[in-house]
Amino acid sequence: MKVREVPQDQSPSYQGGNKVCYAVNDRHQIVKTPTSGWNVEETVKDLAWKVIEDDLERTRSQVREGRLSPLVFFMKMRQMDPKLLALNMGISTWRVRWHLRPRVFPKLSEDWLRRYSDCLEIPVETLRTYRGGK
Amino acid sequence: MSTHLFQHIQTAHCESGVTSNLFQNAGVPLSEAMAFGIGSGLFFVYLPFAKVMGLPLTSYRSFPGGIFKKTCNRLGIPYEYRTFRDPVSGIRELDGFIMDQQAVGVRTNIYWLPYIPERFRFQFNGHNLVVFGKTAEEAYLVSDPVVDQVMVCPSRAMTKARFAKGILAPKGLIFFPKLKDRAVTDALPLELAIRKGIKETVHRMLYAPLPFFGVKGIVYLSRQMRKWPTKIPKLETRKLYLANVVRMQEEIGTGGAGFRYLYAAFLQEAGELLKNPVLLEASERMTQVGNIWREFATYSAKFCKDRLDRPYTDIPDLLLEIADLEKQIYLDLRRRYL
Repeated sequence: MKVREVPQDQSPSYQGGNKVCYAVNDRHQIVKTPTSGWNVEETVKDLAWKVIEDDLERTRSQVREGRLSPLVFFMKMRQMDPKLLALNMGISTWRVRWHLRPRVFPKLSEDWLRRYSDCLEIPVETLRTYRGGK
Repeated sequence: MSTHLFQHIQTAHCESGVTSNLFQNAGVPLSEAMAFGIGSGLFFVYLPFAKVMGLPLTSYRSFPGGIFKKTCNRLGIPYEYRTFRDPVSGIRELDGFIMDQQAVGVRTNIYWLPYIPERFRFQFNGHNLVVFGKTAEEAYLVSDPVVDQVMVCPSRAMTKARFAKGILAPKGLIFFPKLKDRAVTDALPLELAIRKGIKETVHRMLYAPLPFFGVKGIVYLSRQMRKWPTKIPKLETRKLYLANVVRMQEEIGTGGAGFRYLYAAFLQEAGELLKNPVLLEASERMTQVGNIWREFATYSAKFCKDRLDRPYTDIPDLLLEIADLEKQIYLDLRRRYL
């Protein structure tokens, strides 16, 4: 790739920043060249994020209907699954799965809520009161 | 707390960038490309049965952590490389080094770094950066090689990122080359280090024992793709699989074409330094392979948008072409350089 061929597609995901690409200049040297984004990269990234966002939207509505606990939503928001959440909490996956249940979650003690709040960086109040809104 | 100057240079890739920046700031010139090549960063892996967030594990580089260590070892430089069982001592040690004006490489989980754009944040534990100071508000001054300027990261976020759990958990890892007491005039054993770096890469790319690694891995991906129409019923899944491959090639900092351009830069720099025409020729060919990798990415994006007529032959054919060209480069390096 030549320096002048380095894509400058102003990808929204870069939020105005630049990344570095290696490209060939006129003197056949390979040099670092800034790029503001590439449409190809943006296409595949959008596809991957659409899956995450659709899943979050589905989870949100299930929280609204009371079929899933708010904890499931915040776990997914942090791009975690029960296994990763358990590792970060330092407890067993089985226990996390139990806490994720919509019947069990509202009965969790203040202490547990605080631990989940620390782990997911979500305020205790939000954990307790979230009902599937935006 | 102390804040001393650290010259931040933006690079393509985090680990080779951190290695290069740590060396340069200690007065030892070492480019990112050099660190990447000497540290044998180049690779290819496609593991359909090992899933990361539901997608086949794909990587264009070697295992995280290796580049820094190998670069130091091959250049004969002692280094610090330490993990911690509990965050308290991890924080204490990091702060101690900063007080002593020692810039430190730190491994983090990229998700918890607030300055990273949202769409680049995911639960990945192998992101490296340099911490070199603290602000009056007790936040860390960070030189993150994939970001264009020095960033400030609150200490709470930094600790969270350093002690995240899961695959490749960083366990607060800190590292830096011990260059302080070194005489500036000492020459680095570059020629030997370059040879060792290339040797490992060539061997891994050509002779990895399983079909998922190196050149064989590229062929394997090509074969798998031809079977997708019968093996993977949902078109959406196929698109996600391929999109993931391309993301690993372009989205995470690779310098373009899944580190192939960066490796070409290394071969060029090494070739000029050693006045070796074989390396210069390999560099040119590596750039050409990189161009085809970019074409592969373009094709894949078209496939994701349903704008390709024969994706299950066109894309695998392209991959085969890449595999063949790369194989020739490594064979040639083995015969004429190693």
